[in-house]
Amino acid sequence: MGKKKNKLDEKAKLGLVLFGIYSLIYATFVIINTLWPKLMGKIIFAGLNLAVIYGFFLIIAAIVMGLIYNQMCLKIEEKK
Amino acid sequence: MIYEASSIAVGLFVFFVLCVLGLSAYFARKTQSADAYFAAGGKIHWAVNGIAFAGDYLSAASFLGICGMIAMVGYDGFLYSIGYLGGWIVALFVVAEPLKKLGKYTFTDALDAKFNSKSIQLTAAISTLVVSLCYLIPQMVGAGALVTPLLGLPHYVGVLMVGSIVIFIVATAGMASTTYVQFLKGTLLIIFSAILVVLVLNKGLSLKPSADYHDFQSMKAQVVSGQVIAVDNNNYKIVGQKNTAKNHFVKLEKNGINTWWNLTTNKNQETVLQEALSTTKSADGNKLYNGKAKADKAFYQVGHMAEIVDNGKKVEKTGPVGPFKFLSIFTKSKVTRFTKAIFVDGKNKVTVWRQTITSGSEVMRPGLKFKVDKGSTVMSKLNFVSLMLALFFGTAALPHILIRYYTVPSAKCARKSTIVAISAIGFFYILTLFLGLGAMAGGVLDLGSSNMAAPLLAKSFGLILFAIISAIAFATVLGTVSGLIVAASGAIAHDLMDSLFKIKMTDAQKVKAGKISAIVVGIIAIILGILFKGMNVSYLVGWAFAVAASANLPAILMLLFWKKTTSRGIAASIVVGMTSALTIILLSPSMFERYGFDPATAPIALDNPGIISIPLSFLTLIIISWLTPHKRAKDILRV
Repeated sequence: MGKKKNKLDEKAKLGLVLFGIYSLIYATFVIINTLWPKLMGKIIFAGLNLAVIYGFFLIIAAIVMGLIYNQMCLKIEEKK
Repeated sequence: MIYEASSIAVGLFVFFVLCVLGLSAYFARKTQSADAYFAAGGKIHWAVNGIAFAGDYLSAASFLGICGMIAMVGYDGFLYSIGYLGGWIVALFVVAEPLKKLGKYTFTDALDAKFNSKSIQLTAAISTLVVSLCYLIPQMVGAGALVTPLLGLPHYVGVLMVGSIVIFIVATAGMASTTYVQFLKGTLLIIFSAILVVLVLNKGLSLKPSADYHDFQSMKAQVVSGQVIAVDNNNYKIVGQKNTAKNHFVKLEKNGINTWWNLTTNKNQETVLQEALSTTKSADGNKLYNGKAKADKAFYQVGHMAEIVDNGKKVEKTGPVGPFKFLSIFTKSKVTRFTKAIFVDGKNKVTVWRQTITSGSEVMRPGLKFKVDKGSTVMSKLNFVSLMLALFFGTAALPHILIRYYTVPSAKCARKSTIVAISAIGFFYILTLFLGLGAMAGGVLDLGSSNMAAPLLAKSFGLILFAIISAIAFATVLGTVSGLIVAASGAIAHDLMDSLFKIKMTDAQKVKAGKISAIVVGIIAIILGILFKGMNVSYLVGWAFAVAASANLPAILMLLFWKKTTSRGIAASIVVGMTSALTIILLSPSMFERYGFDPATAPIALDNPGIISIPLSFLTLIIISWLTPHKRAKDILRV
């Protein structure tokens, strides 16, 4: 029972850390949009501006972080 | 504009409906227990559940609403895609596994798992019903609005049709049939949206989007003291002028037909009148489109590039382009948007859409809809932050989404299915940017209904694709409404009748109660869908997110991560979150405008309540839990 307790805790902690990281990226995006909207129009790469690159990044980051989270959770579960 | 019913669209829709009804009848035989009815027996494969999540979540608001908004205001519409998707991160990293472990059929189960508290059962069930109803009404109104143009049927027939099919789906096999309808719809939506984007990129951008695209006219005008006194075209006679705060509109008459023109300056700095689109509604309810009756089809489709810059050169068209090149060219070019002005002319209410040339760089960054740039105030910026907050925290608190965690066998499957959902929904949301911009520049926009942008974009590539996309649009409504009705019937039959009022029922009776609840909720949805006809109720989806984020999420998060959370704290936070969110919305400037009052007199200057109601709900939970320490949540994540 004690072991199970720790595993659940570990996954919950991992989830919270990843949630914190994503929230920070999302909050930065909202802050730039709110305070410096013109900065979002700055061309960054391949003719694409910051707004498009950051927006796509947020979507792709959600998918990639989800996959990383799953892999790490599987490892934690395998240790069982 | 006038829509003609497409027999292929009708045929495909009927085929899809028959498949759905067949599927429901098949699963009906297997749905004998409450577990099978409310949670599909917890036996759905995680991959199927993940796509069903997408089918449940990508409602008409996502497919029709976001594409339409991007087509009208560019990047600001895409911000909804980003916010909606971001919300799934909360669901995956924080909510998915614990909720699966704690709950049985509904989200109330999870909240109440450690307490067996009547106040939680009651408040969470009410919150589920309020959120579901806010979500249901726009879906039902949308169903009616889709049926009229696409199948040539009256609004109420569309609502009745969708309502009846959904009642059949839910009342026969509950969550099992609902899951597969959502799976089917999610798959079709993503595949055909991707095909549509490939076609948009293959077509590229062009100054004249199609051979039969309307040829906009302009004529020199002579102005004295702000009044147009002559035009250089003898066929037209000046019959009126209306000056608004920002624009001058002139009414011209030709062959007995009145049309509205916008006074502006052209490239050569000459004062000209530029052709605009208009609708005129008279006191007796008659409506003219560009001065003519609806049947004359004078209200043409619009949207075109004003200037295309490719590799530093101005070109007439680009030909096929890759996705990044498409966005890059769009950013450097200029597009003709159509901005709306409403005024009264005599006894008539006139709506004019004037051509507005906008640089691609403005379209591709925030500011055209959300007041964060030109003309922004502290309050307008707070409104934007508040909206993005509600979108981020709302998803993981929507009851019809949360119940899908109980349809898979384990917490591991709940996690995996959320990742599948994020991938599918994320991919779809990236597509929305291309669909919206494709519609904005593709000469397909119906200015009277921006929601039709995606189906009309499909129509520009042929009737078959239009028919398929239209059938998918119907399926979109069916899938989401089914999920909502399952959630609402669970709240009534399971949370209220079984848990709260302790009505003794056998397993078969619980299924029967669930089915009867689904029928009742379905009938209420049909009635509301008919009553709200013609009203733009898409804002209700925003209410649903705001209420869910304010009422449900603080309770879920604090239950999971704060040991001192008490049952009274949870119940109080739900009540405060829900009522504060609704109160702020009802007293907001945009609602005051809907009531017919001056928006400036609204007692609360915010339109989006999240920035106040979410912290308030958290605070309430903490204070009440401190004051009532006798019944705590214990160590939920370690159980």
